[in-house]
Amino acid sequence: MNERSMKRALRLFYLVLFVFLLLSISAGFYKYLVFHDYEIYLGEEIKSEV
Amino acid sequence: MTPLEHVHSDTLGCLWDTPRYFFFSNEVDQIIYYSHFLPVLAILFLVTVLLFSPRKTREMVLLIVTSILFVAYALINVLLWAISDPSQIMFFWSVTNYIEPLIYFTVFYLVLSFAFKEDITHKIKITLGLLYVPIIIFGPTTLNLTGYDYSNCDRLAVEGPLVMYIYILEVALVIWMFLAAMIAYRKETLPKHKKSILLLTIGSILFLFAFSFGNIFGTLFQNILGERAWIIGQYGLFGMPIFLGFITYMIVKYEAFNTKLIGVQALMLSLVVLVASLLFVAQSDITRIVAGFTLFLVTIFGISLVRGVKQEIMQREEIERLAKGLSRANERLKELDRMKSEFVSIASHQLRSPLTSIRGYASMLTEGSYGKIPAKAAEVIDRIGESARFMATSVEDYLNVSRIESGNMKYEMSDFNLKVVAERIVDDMRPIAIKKGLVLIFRSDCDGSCMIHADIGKTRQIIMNLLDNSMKYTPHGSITVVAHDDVKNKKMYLSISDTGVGINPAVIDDLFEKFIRAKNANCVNVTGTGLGLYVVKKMIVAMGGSVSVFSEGEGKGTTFKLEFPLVPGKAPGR
Repeated sequence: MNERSMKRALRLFYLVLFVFLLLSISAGFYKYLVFHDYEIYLGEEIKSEV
Repeated sequence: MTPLEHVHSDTLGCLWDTPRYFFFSNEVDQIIYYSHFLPVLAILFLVTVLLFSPRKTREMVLLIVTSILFVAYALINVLLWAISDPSQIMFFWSVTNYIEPLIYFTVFYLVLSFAFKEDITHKIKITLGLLYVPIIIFGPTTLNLTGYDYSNCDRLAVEGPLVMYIYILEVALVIWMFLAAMIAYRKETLPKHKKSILLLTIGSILFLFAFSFGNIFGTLFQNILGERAWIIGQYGLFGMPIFLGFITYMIVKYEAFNTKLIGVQALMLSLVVLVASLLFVAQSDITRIVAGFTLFLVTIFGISLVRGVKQEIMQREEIERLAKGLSRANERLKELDRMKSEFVSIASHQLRSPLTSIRGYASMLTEGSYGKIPAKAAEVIDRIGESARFMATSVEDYLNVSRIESGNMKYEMSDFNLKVVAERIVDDMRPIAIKKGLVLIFRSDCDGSCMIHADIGKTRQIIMNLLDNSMKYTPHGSITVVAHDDVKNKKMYLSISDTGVGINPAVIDDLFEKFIRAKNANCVNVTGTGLGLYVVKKMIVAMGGSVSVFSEGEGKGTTFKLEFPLVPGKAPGR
């Protein structure tokens, strides 16, 4: 693989990573802010699932 | 509206002051705002300065990206302190875990790129990308944040194994960065860049340490100190603009950036103003003390930084200007040197060889090797031979000058008797003198050995040159060569005196310079090059001796005096 195509492949790789990063953050957004999908601890016991 | 109207009770019964403009809540410790907004403003200013720089290097772009990531991180962090909704806290907390390793990546990239003076390899770039993949995959899962800790209304997210992976990754990156920078440091031969690699690496590690101090401290002491652990951890952020300023200074100082003095001055001034303003808005004594101390440090640091950068820039510009001039002069000199060498080569091969042939054939014709020739023709041939001889001498002079000036003149030093050598030369040249109607006398007066330590060939050349000169400029009369020594002062002298045209005292001092001839020289001898005496002087000085000339004026004759160090011992035959 020559230098130019290697650079292009690397750019594509980083583009894919960036898209997945945005998807991952969006998934967190839905998980926490829309579905409130997380556990709440109150001392040792688990109080509730919101 | 009373302050109490902002306070509400959340779903789990914890009282919380609702933040105004997202960020400002009375519940948040003043130190949090101080430790976040100050670095953010300072770094935003730095980014502005860097963005307006006319030339952007790779390191500069990386510094801008690092700064923007840091600003995003710090703003989200303040938000985390101010808001009370658990869902919002969980979301923004998870986002900080995406940003934090990216800051490490960019600083790592910056240091390696600066240290090795080239872009990092594709392999490293791919490795960094792959190391980030688990964070992308597991970011929105319970491996990142397992839940929300509401013990004592602390409002903390509970971090999962992915955060441990991030910490390990960060430590590994710092170690990798340090080792790579040290390899670059050892390989680097330029002391200036060597030092800059070391300082930039230290600055970057301190920057990352200051950045992570809050997280490290918070994670380590969360169980013991609760929310206080995270508040104490925020002090680390104070170091951020200082270390970032330091990194920028390093890069500015070592020419990687073209950011000018004005940027550094404005940055330092804004820092001082910002810190000073905190003294007025601070509500607690502890904040005022911290702000006052920081102001003191920033002022001292700022003054020395601005002075240092100013001096560096001035020196650098001066050096750059001189270097450019020098480089141009050097190129020109190289070109001239090449031309000179070419000329010397032409002179030695193209001129000398045909001259030897001309002289040889002229001599053979005169001697009758090709049969008897008429007297008139013999006279012409004699002139041809004489001209060729002069031309050969001239070429030899030019070649000698060229050898002397390029330092290629070789001297084979040995001990020999100057009196014997001089006497032999006088004997050899006497027929020519007689032919010209001159009397050539040799005398010696040696108490010591008459021995000198010099190159015998070159010494012969010098004596013959001076004798030849004397004969040329003495239309009638005599030439006297005297060899004598001064045992007490360990000197050996050879003087050549003539009764010739003499030399005007006005030009006597310049006589040994290149292309200088006495004004009356052309009256007697039109063929001189003005190089003979220059060559004589250079040669004798190189052999440890000296030459001087005396004349009482035009028409009163000339004396050349050679002086050599005398080798101790007795003269043979005395």
